[in-house]
Amino acid sequence: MGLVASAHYEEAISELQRAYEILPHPSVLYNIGRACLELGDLEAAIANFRKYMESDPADRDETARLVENLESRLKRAQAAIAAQPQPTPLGQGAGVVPDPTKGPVVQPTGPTQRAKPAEGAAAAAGDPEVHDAVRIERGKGEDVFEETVVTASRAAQSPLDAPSSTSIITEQDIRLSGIVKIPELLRRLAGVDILESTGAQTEVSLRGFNQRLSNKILVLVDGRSVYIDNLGSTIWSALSVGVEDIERIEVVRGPGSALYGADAFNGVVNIITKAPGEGPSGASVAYGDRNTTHGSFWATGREGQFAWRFGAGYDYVARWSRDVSPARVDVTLPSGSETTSQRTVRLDFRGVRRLGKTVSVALGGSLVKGDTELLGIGPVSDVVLRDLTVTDLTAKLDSEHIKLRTFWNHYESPDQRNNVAYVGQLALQASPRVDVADAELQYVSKLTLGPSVANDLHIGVSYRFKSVEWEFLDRTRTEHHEAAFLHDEIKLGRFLALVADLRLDYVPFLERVIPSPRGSILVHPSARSTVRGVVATAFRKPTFLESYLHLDIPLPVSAVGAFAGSFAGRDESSHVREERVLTFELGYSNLESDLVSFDSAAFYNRVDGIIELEPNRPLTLGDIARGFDAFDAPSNRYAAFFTGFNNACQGFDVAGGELGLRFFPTEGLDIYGNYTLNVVRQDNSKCGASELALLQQDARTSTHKVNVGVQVRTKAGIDGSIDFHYVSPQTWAEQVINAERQRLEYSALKLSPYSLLNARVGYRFSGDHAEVSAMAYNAIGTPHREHPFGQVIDRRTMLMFTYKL
Amino acid sequence: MHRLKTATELAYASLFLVVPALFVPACGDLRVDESASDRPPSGVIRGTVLYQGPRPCTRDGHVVGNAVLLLFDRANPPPPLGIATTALNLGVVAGDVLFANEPRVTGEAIDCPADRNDTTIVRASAPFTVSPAAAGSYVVQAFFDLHGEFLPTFKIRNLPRAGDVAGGALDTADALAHAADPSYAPKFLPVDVGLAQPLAEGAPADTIPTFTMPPAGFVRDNVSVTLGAVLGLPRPYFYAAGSEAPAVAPAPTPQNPETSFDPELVPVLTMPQDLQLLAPPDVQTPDNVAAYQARFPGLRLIAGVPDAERAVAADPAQPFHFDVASKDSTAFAVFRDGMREIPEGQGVPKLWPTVVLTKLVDDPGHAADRQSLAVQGSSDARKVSSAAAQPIVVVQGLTLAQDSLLTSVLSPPSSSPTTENRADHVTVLVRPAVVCFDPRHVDRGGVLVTPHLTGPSADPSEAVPKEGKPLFDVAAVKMGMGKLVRDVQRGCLPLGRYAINAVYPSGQAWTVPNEAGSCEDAEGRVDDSTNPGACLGRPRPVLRSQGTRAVVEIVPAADPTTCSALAAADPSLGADGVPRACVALSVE
Repeated sequence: MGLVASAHYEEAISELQRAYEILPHPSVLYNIGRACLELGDLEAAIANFRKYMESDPADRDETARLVENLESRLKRAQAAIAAQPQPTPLGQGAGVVPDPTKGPVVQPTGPTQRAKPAEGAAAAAGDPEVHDAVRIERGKGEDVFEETVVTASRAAQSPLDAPSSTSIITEQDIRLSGIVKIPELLRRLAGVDILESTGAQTEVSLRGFNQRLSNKILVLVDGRSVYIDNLGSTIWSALSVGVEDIERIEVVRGPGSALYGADAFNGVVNIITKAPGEGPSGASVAYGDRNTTHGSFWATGREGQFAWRFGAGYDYVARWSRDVSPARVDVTLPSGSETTSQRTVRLDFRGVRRLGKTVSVALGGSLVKGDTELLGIGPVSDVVLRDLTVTDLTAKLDSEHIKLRTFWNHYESPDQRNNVAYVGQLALQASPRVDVADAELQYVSKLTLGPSVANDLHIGVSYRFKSVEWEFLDRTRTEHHEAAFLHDEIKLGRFLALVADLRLDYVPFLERVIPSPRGSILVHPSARSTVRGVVATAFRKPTFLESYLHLDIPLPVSAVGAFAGSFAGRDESSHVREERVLTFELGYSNLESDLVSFDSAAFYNRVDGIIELEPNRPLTLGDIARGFDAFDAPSNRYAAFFTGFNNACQGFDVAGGELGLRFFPTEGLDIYGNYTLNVVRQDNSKCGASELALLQQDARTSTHKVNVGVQVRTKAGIDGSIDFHYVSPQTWAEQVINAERQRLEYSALKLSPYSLLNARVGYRFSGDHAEVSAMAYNAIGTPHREHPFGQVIDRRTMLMFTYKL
Repeated sequence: MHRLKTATELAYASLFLVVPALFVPACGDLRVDESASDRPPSGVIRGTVLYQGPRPCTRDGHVVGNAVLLLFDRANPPPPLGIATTALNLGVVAGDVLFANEPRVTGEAIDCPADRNDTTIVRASAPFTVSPAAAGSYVVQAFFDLHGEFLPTFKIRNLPRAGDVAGGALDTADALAHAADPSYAPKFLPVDVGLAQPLAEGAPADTIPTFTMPPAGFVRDNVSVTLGAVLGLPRPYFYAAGSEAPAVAPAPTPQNPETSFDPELVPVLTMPQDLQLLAPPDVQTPDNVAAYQARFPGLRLIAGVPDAERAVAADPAQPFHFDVASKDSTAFAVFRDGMREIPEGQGVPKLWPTVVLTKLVDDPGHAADRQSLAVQGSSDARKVSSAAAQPIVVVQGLTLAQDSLLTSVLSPPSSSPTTENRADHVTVLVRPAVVCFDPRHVDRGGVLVTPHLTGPSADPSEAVPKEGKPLFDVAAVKMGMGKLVRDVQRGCLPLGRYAINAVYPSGQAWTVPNEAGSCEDAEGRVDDSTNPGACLGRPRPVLRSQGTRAVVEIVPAADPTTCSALAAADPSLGADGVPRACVALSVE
């Protein structure tokens, strides 16, 4: 915007057009319009203002008045030109009717095709109405390219004002990376733990404690939780949005229960999709080795006050490796394949209608169908979910003071089973069905007290109904969760802000209310830097699986199993409790320079009550006396011992930090690097002798992680990126079957350090509407595992073609 | 700025030069990586269960009970053919599957046609699969659990009962030919899984080869398991006299030391590790034989359970399900094993039930094996301890007829379990000799260890050489015990607690201590104030007669110089005089 301010309008238009390509924000259109106006190009200015109005901005009426004035001005100018002798035919630009469905509109440059800048500027300046209208833009010159986050406090704000450590993956990051798996996009961020366990499934955690079926973070899509309640995890391959639908991904590190309740234990990942009506429609197709296929189509439009967006996609992902040789005669593949990891189609529709200036109603729904594969917990290893159906229906009401959001998530897989089973053994077949209905009502009050004190208050209540039918549970279970929350943010001048949060969650399984407070203090030593201190707690409630488990697990003896039950074999009063984390965090961010940005955080976490499979308890005669039927007819197995879930006696002291730098040395070149330190001390002081005898040191989180990358965009249309990731060694304390002792027990499994190099090169053509690109994942090709039982990851390459209207 | 521009150009150049080289596609078949799989190559045994016997019991629309297939190491089958105490693997064919076409009652009460004197014989068959199975050579013993009592993890419910239909993968022609012999031991056919490795040069022809699992796994098909022998006897339920009551004026033992003394661990019988017997008299007068018998420690095993425990033990609502509803039904069937004699000969007949003592894992702290259930060298031992595997150590008992060796010799019972041969108790002489086996190679035979090979004669008038009279004929004993003993060695007996097992030729057996007599860790401690007792943590009755007192403990030598002298004379013995083969396994 400095170029506009300094009257370098042509340069400004060029910059803004590139900017719009990267981030198609409506305000950019306004500013292009403004620059065109200053340059005297009224037609282009009108076209851009009109396109800006399509986004239904708050100043739509004012902009409409401006357009009216400009149009009348243009008519007068054209009439004046018509009355003069024509030295040359009318310029093409003069008669062009801009197509509002395209990007920013600027007339082809040429001395005869537009009014002289001085004339135009004088014309505009000479019209008092236009002059007034142009003043509107002054408020729009600041925040267009300012990154905005909403996840850390439920309201749009700069990351510098976020009360928790927050990072963003932008649309540009996504496009330039060439990655089509959403969780894989997060690998570039500091403090993020990524574990690609199968071709389809990647586990994500923040600041450690990743695991098979990761359950320490909450994943949201536009604020809607996509947590699968029976597993307590996120099935990324079952999301209804493709990478092309994403505007940005916000990652909030640290406890999030104060805002989002249970399950936002170590952080929140919020996927913000492109708003209905914004951006172009388009399609992309990609094909790679092992028949990896990615297809995506999206359309967006606006009819009056109604804007909509529709997305559809197809993904086929092969397994990284086979668990068993095809020559094996002792096993069967109940899932029918040891090559496919994911085959899904997805549909997603969102619409929003404005009702007046400050009220909008949004409706949406989605459907995902197909097969996908997970690495299960404990001895339940490789699981295939066949004929998976995941749907949602969402409705939102947004107004200045009241926000109401409801959604219904449905998940079912009529054919869930192990991928491999010994001949004659059942493959833990089941058909889970999960329904979640969620409603949240929020009252927002923004209050300004004098010139230097502003208060932002959010008070809300929420209700969540859950129903899970699953053969792994004792019976169909339903739960009713209620919660109330408060978020208050006080800005005291430009230099200081205080944030306080409190959320109270009633957890029906535990039959009590769990409070989750958070307090933050933000100090701004300068306008573009922040020192942030945070104290927060969070909890993770037991999942349905952990709460109501009822499952017979096969052992290496043919007809003997482990009965896994949450209640059977022990007193109901001793059931599993919630996991807890307490965090202290100190962060510093600096965005002062246009050349480099800096973000850092240091934290200490105390984690207690991690839920794990409990040490085995033998089946006793007392269990038989109480009526336990040790023979499980469906599996043809006799129970030998009990297992289930309990809270680990060991606690964890975690100290660490993240340090991130991003350089912008010149136009089109971004370089980033970040480092993550995570030092874990296992505290066994609360463990008894029998527990200590079974324990292993758990060092599943790498102490060091490094991410480095470079992104290049050229004027010639050639783009490229290289991302390098290094993960230091890990030692996983996993519970495995000891065939000799016929029981589950901890085993320390070491994972070697690994590096990952991803690269993409692309070429934009046809006026940047089309793009071809090639992407290599793990380009070095060093095979590695990211979990001791995970598939072996090697190199994959893919070609992609994208066309945007 | 110039420097920055140069750097930018370099970055562009390197990016566009390097990136294309990275896009070489992966090719070839999908990588196979079994190293992290929890399903390593394994064996599958498939075949058919053929049943011929009484109609099954039904309840609630289902057949009660299952066909149970127990896989034992062919080198070490269970008694009476071997010394195995636990099956290596288990297979199940559900009764509903085996008897898919049998009518069944829908009520909650169990309906057993055989109990209604329905003598109809039905035939049924169904396929079975046992997997995963490790490489090896197996014998498959099987039975149909008619009343649905089988539970593999409890000694008290893991073997067939009266009425069950027994069999296995066996030589059916041979079995038919011996159908009238109550002491007949079926010939089980080998079921091999994996690839047999060549035998060492010069190895005996009947040596069982080592088997390895091929990388693709192994399927052993077409195994035929026949069930057709209805078991007429109940399991030989018993308790050792003295075990039903708390110890009186107990003396600490090495396994129950003074520092952690527990009255529930006081053994019913102790035997010094250097016990000296008398040599059998040349002239068998009642006095001589009585004198000979008197030197043996004697165990009195009483059939069934004490009267105070009977109702609880037989109560269907309790978990024990002992078949001891009446004294008559629980009496021992004491009968002769054909015309066989004990290995020592001397005209002493071998009688059923045979009694074998099996050494339990050493557990002086009473922490690892609180219920005294884990037999040293067995898979049970591995469940309670991660220590290195140890030898299996057994003591062969000598079952007497009417408590008398003389009677056993002069008036032995017949060789069938007739009504006249029933006894409410048996006396068992405990030989001061152990056989130590390497559990990996039981088929190679064990080492018989005894503290003395000679001694004074039971006949005081008999002239005996200075070095003493041989206690038994070593060659005859080796021959009499077949492949079970490969060598006889003089040494002190391994200290420790020994469980007591009584076995019938059908393989039906009973063991004390067992789960009924004490409480698991998770069940808490035993309430001593009641009879029967009770577990205090997770309440259920405790049958004290089946508890941790029901063991024979071999205690230190009466004369400490005996063992040290033996150790000094034989380098294959440890410093305590116990052969190393009885303490630790050789390194392979």
